[in-house]
Amino acid sequence: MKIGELIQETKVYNCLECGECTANCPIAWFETDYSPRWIAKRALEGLLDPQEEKIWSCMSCQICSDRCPSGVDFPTFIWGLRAEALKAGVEEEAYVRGLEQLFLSGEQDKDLGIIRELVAGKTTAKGQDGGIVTSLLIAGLEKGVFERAIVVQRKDGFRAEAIVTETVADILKASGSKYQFSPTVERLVEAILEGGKKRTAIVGLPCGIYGIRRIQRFYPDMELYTIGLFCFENFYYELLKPIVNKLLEVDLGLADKIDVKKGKIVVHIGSEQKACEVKELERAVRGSCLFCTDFTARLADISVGSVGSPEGYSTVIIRSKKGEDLFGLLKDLERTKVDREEIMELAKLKKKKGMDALEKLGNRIAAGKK
Amino acid sequence: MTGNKSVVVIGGGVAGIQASLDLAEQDFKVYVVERNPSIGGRMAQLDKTFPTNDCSMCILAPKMLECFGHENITVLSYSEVKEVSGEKGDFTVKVRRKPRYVDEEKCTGCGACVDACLLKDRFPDEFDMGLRKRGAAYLPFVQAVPKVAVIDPEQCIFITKGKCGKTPACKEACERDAVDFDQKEEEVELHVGAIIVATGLEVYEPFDIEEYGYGRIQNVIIGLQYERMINAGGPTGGHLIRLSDGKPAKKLAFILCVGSRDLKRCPYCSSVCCMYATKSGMLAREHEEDMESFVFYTDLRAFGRGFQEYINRGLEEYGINYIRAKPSKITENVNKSPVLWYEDTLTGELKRMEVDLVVLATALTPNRGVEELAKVLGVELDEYGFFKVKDPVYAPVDTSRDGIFVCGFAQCPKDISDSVAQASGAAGRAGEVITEVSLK
Repeated sequence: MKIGELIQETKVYNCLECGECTANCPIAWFETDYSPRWIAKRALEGLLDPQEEKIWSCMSCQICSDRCPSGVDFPTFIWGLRAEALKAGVEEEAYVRGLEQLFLSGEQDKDLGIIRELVAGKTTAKGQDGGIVTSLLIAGLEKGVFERAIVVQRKDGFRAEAIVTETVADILKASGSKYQFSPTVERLVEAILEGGKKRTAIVGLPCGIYGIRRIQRFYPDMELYTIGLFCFENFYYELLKPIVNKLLEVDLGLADKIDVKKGKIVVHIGSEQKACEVKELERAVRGSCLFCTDFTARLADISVGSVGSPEGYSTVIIRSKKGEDLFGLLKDLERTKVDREEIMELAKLKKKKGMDALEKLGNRIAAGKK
Repeated sequence: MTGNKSVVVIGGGVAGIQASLDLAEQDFKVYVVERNPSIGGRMAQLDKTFPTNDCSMCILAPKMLECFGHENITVLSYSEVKEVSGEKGDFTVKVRRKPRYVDEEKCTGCGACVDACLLKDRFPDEFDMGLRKRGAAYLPFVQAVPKVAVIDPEQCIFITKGKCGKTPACKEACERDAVDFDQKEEEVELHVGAIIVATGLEVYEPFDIEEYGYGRIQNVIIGLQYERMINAGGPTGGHLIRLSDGKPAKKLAFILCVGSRDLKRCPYCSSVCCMYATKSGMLAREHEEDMESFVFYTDLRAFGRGFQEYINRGLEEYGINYIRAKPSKITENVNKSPVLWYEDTLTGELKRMEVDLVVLATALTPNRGVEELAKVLGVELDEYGFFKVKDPVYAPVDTSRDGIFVCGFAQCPKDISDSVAQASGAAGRAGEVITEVSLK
């Protein structure tokens, strides 16, 4: 493998070894033998085994590269190593399946992961679709299932901000999809280490839930309820805002709601709706999303999304006993028919997209082309 | 004989003062154009200087007075260069003099107007980096030169709204009738043979580095705020305090390379932070025996004469703890104490540390307004906004335009002694150019 090419492409050679990446890495605080800085250092010294297990520790939150003063693209470096590992016959699924076995139980579906129950429904809470996530959080908090929740609110327009809260008011304010990454797992690590041990619910994207499960292996008595969101890809707000402004001639900061459905992004402002193809926003997509293969948040206790259910309803995949218990708390649930095929189709599409991108990256590195 | 034997020096900090004095001593006529109400620049804000721990103001104040009082020097304070025409040996420089609303001849700097101002203690004081509040009428600082009060036209309600009591309190209080609201902006035209740029630096305020919480976490401050705090004449009388509750700060953390050596912000090294952080740790210990200091560094750059020895002294004599880490973030705990999260890169351990006060050694950048000034002067800036020199080896003080020279931080990051050395170099070159033209 031409690890040298990967180092060039991702600028690992710029590393000053300041350690900001490792101290920023939510995984590294628990998985103590995992360190982005240490991996970078060993790569530069030619001591890195590209197939070692540690390359699967990264959850692609990109906080390390977002904050790296030297512009090292560590997540892509890791994806490059993974691409090589896959070529050499390592099975990507293996790492996910191991975690599934640890935390979930139910029937195994090739495309959708572990399923105990697949339903579609809505509650009376106002939310992105059926208000399920908001209702789950409120029910859990009010019934004392968990004491705090980590959710994402809107700040300064449509910017996403992850917060730790113990109030229903905050949860209501956090309803609705933001289509951006926000460091929920970082907040979780802070909550555990600084805020003390409390039963916690966290809403996360598939990547975040993967990270949480990696962490949980090293902190088994963490009382955690994970709610995963279906996710095809996510955007950088700073990049998305100007593109939307140009294409749709609207200020994203003023939007009431953003909806991504069937290949289109719809921005709602008041009674006005403007839409364009999601493809046109490609430049604003977070780098790691290109390689991600998980659409339905396979490792969450409960996954929620809009795909697979009619307008105004949410699809729910219950994957663990914990998830089942939490879902059982919903009093005002109105069920409807769920379209399993539709979910599977999108899950497959995302997987193929991710694997293709990884293969391309692997080929590019092997060919030594920039 | 063409041209004339005078020079404009833009900026009255230590570099500008040095260049002016060098020229004035050789009988050249010098005009110092200073944007602020007083000369002195950044050095005036410092408590001590490294690597000797001398009192900064004790070195600078006599130079400020000498500069102001020199028969060959005219200080145009509260003024800015607006237009430059002509060429080497024969420049015409138009200077805008902002109204102070206080007569420079009559004012003795007694401070009666400052005490009388109805808006006293309402606005963040620039000199004390916002740690103290001042009124609309204020004295720049105790040792200001000229020691003349100034009334801020954007803050004074008599200027903005036309009304302040029956008669403005400051005017009433002044025994020498120096307050003059009829002052207007003036334009001065100067004819000089050369120009020296000594505009100094601005301090990066790291609001965009959200993970460090500057502006959000009260006990996170920047380097110059620390300088003001530890200065006996500063806003806390030299006591290091937690801004959240005013209690003594006993445990200090200094983070180096904040916004500097950062490809997304200021890619260059600010060149003075490793040393001033060490100095700060020493001074803290000199103030209080039980003070603990932790310096978080990426690389300790002790490249100057006596610098490595200085750091060794910090370690051995002052017990400063150097930690090789760039903290990833600062959070605030329930006591409002900052908590640093970091990887000790020498051991690979992830740690958290609660302290009383965090001092961010932020990037030092070219001063505000250098782009406009460069346009006015017709000279080039480098990619970071520092004044470009013709050749760093053969012409280290010549800008891209003949007859215009640069010195100090305006050219690139450097400490006080390097700034002063370069100022003498710029003065030498300016004198040389004028003499050469006038002899033709």
